[in-house]
Amino acid sequence: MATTEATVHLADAPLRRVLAPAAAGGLILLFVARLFGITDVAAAQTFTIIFTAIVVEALPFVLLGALVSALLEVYVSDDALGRLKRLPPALQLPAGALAGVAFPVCECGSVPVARRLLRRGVHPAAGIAFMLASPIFNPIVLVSTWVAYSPRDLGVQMVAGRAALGLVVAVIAGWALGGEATEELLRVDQSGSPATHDHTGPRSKVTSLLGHLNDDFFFMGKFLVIGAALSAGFQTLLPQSLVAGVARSAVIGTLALMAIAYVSSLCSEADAFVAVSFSQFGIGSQLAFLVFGPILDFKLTFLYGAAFRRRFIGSLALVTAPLVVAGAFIFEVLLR
Amino acid sequence: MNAGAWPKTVVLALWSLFFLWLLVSGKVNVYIGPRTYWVVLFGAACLVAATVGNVVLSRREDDAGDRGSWGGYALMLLPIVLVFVVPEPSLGSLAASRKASGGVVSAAAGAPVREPGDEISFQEISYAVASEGYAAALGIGDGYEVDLTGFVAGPSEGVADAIDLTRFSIFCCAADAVPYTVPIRMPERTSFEPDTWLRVRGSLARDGATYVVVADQVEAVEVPSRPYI
Repeated sequence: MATTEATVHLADAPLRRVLAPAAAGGLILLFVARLFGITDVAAAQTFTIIFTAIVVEALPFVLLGALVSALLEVYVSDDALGRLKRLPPALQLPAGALAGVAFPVCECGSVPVARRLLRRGVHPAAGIAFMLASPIFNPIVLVSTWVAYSPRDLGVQMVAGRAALGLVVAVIAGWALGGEATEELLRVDQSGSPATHDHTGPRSKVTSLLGHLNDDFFFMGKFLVIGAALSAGFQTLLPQSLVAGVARSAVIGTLALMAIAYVSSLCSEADAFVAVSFSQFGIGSQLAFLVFGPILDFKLTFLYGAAFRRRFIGSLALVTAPLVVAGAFIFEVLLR
Repeated sequence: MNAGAWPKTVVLALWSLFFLWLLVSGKVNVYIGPRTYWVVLFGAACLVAATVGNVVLSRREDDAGDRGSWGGYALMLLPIVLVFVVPEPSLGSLAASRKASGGVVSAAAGAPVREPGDEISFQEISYAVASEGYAAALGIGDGYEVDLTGFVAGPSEGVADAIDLTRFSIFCCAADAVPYTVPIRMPERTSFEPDTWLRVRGSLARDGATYVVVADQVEAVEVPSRPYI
């Protein structure tokens, strides 16, 4: 009886930690809505469409990520992972970043997989590099980037710039943030605990797979919903023209598009079609939008919060934002 | 079924039904673009499989993961609840005012591929405003006849005595919607409420740096089953 209560208590804890900031965010949104005089049905309609669309678009990928994560846990032996783990960290890191090619899903799916890889002993730097690179450095994303920019004769340049900058940022961020031990990096929770999912025998393995899939899907899913709600709230309330006015300044314009990328929480497989519409911004700023969004946005903030300790998100922003700005500036200069 | 599994099975079942409802009712077109329609098909299949897996396996063994929390389950169902509580969720004039302005979208997503004489719509007109070469290649200019269906975004910001007719283009989902707006000069002093869907037939005329549609015929129409271009 005591064990059951403890399990429920611990499983509730992450959500309680989320509900407080979510409630605060909701109150802020309501205040901003009042400020802009938006209290009518149109706002609710717009919010509902954007909110639901983000969740519908992302949920299958969260499920897919949870499935891959569960397969890794149940069917990939320690021996198989051991070969990767025995590689020197200097090789694990680029190998992790390049593995994104083999995992063509957007950012929602990569977080649970990276979390599982870290738990199974893959070097944290490699796991982080994989998580950050896979939403950018995967074939579907690169093809969609080429399709969006090729009518402007910038398809090849943009694909090369996005892949190169995404890879560089992922490797450097992996190196900078992956120095800690896994237990220092990952959030403590009960899901996926080996004690609760012992898997011996074929039937047990299938059931255990389902258990891990459930845990990861529901654990990540609620954070996705909160991130999508905040993104939809800001998209409903704040006009993009507020930041579009700074387009002429290279650095501020880049920061503005990174802010839009953060708030918009777009899928990396579609964001190029939005980026190309910001035609009054420089091409470097558009690249920053394409690289920063899949690394850090509203929904990812909550997904990272589900997987990693709180300080990870701040550190990630501090490491990646300057790199993206610098890379965007260099790209702009190279294309002049 | 063990106590820890049934709330998860219910949540998965409701999401499965929601995905299936989106597909069967055609409402999927309101949330997701045609290019990513497959995601909903794929999601429906995965969710149904996960639901069935939960039902079958959780009856056999007492191990379907952690118990979770009621707050978390409620949160997971919030999008579905909102869709059925909020009347006719849609992107309209408010969303158009919040998304990128007309200048921002003028060259959105590259030039649509068209042959001279083809029927043109919001995107082609927006691109013709941005690119004289594109306009010349398609023969877009004064007198070019158009037939547009969109919603009223409000009085035109750039053209006097005109309204803005808008239609969204989406790529993946409604979150990445980009509004395309064309100013319409009405045949007579008629006024339509914002968000009214109109079918406008008329011809293009140059008005400063932009094109305006001089309308011959304007009629209010129902919201199209595919509201985006």
